[in-house]
Parts: sequence; structure tokens; C-alpha cells
Amino acid sequence: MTNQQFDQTILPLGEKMYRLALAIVGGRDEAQDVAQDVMERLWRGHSELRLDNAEAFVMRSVRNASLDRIKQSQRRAQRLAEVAWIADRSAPPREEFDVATLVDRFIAELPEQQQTILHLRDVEGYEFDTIAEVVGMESATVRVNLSRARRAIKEKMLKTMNFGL
Amino acid sequence: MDSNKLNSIKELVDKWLDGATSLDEERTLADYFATGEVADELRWAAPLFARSAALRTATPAEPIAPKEVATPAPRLRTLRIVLVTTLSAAAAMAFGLFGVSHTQKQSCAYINGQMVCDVEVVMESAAPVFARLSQSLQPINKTRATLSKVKSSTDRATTIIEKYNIEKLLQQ
Repeated sequence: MTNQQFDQTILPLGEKMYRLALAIVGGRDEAQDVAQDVMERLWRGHSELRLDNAEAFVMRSVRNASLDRIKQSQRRAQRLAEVAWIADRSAPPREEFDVATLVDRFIAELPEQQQTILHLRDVEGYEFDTIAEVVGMESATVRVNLSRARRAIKEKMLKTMNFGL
Repeated sequence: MDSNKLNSIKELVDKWLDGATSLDEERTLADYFATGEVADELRWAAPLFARSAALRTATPAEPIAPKEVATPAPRLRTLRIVLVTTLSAAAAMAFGLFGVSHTQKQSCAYINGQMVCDVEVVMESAAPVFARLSQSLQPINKTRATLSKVKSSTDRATTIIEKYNIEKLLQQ
């Protein structure tokens, strides 16, 4: 990949890289660090990059780097600990529900792959083939995991907000 | 919303839960939930669509870009251009200051508009000029290789003057 191709193809992905890192690591500063580190590595090795499917490769790199960052820190354990109250069925529903926080917590409880698939589809609007390349699955498996993630959130939302049908 | 459209949305939501919607169909759902006028039985999904819409606008505090975006080739090319230009200017200055004259079988130099044929005087005048040239080149000479190139060019300019003036003067 030439310098110009890098500028035209990879540089514009900076915000998407940041958002995916944010979805996985959970903190803005860490997401910035992860995305920046990946961009630096991509630039250093850009002569070896291929144009076809470059975006999927970039997003896969961000995902891997984000997962490595999580392993290095205790953040995921902290995040799960924060949502532990949801497991306590005896806790009465609070009237001042912050629905956005609820959704964040439900998503944080999903397996990481489902969180990533949900983010790449619902936030970034990627096709299933591209998502499959990023997470290393078949397209059909991506759809199944997406369905499971959405249904899991629906169930939790219905139970907690007591909507019923 | 009329019942037909609502039924259509409900069918899309079921398809969306199965992971079977196209991106266009998901945009239709996103537009519906963005209206804020959501049927009671679908309100559970509104926060999820709102969250996705909000996340799409999340931006980093600083742009994500490699620190070293400038490519080496243009820098080197620029350095070459500056070197060539400066050396050419140096040579032009040297000849402008010390214009060579071959009148009357004698080689002389023009210094500040006056013809000087004394080689020692010429060399004395040339030395500070080339010293100033070397100083002016220091900002762009960050490497030892570049400094040696300038020095060798200075030496060549001096040698040219010597060749034109001293040799012929010595022939007298």
C-alpha cells in the first residue's frame, strides 16, 4: 500500500477504530490509546498492507488490540462487578431508572464476540461478510450470534422494565 | 401510525431479532424508533436503537493518526532541492563577488565592484563569505553527511577560484 493509499483508505477509519475500541475496553482514554497504537502499527507496516478488505483487517486489529488491553487490566472484571446488582432479583426496581445505563449493562454482560458483532452491525452498519472477517467466523454464525445478542437484550429489558407483551 | 404500517414495523422487528434484516430494513427501524412515537409493545427496543445512534457520533478527544504521517521521500526530496539551490546560490555568490576576469592575460577577481588580482587578497575576502554560507546552512544540516556535503561544495567553489586565479597568476 502506498502512502497515498494509506491516507485515503486507512486514515479515515480513525473514528470507527476508536468506537470499536471504546465498545470493547469501555474507557475513552484507553480506547484512544488502543486506536492510536493500532494506527501507528498500521502506518509502520503499511507497505505490506493490501487494499482489498483493508477495513476488515483494520477493525480486526483494533479488536485484537482491545482484547489484549482488557487482559492486561482489570477493567472487564470491574465492569461485570458494576452490573452485579442486576443478578439480585430481590432488589426492587428503582424509579429513577437510567435506561441508557441499563442497555450498557446488559450489553456488557454479553460474551465479547456478541458485543463486538452487535457494535459492528448496529453502530457501524457493516455487512455480515465484513463482520465475519473481523471476528473470524462464518457469516451464518455471525447472524446467529447477532440474533442471540438482540434476544438476550430484549429479554432483560422486558424483565427489568416490566413491560410485558 | 396506521395499523398496516405498525404491523409492518412489528414484522421487521421480529426479523431483526432473528438477525435476518438487511441494512436498509434496519435503517427503516432506526428511523421509526427515532421518531419517539413508538408503540407500547415495541418500547423495549427504543433504548437500544437510541444507544446505537448516540454511539455513531462518538469521537476521540484527538484525531487518530500516526505521529509520523509525513513521508520520508518528500523530506529527502525537499532537502535535495534546498541543497542544490543553496549550493548553486553559493557558487553564484562566489562568482558574483569574485567575478573572474581574463583581460590582458591576467586572471583577477572582482570584489565589491573592484578588480583585484592579488591572490592573497582574494582568498582573504573569500574565507568569511564561505564561513557565512556554512552558518546559514546549519539549520538544515542536521546530519553529519549533509554537513560534509556542504563542506565539500565549499571546497569545490574555493578550488574553482583558485584554479582560475592562482594558476594563471602563477603563470605570469
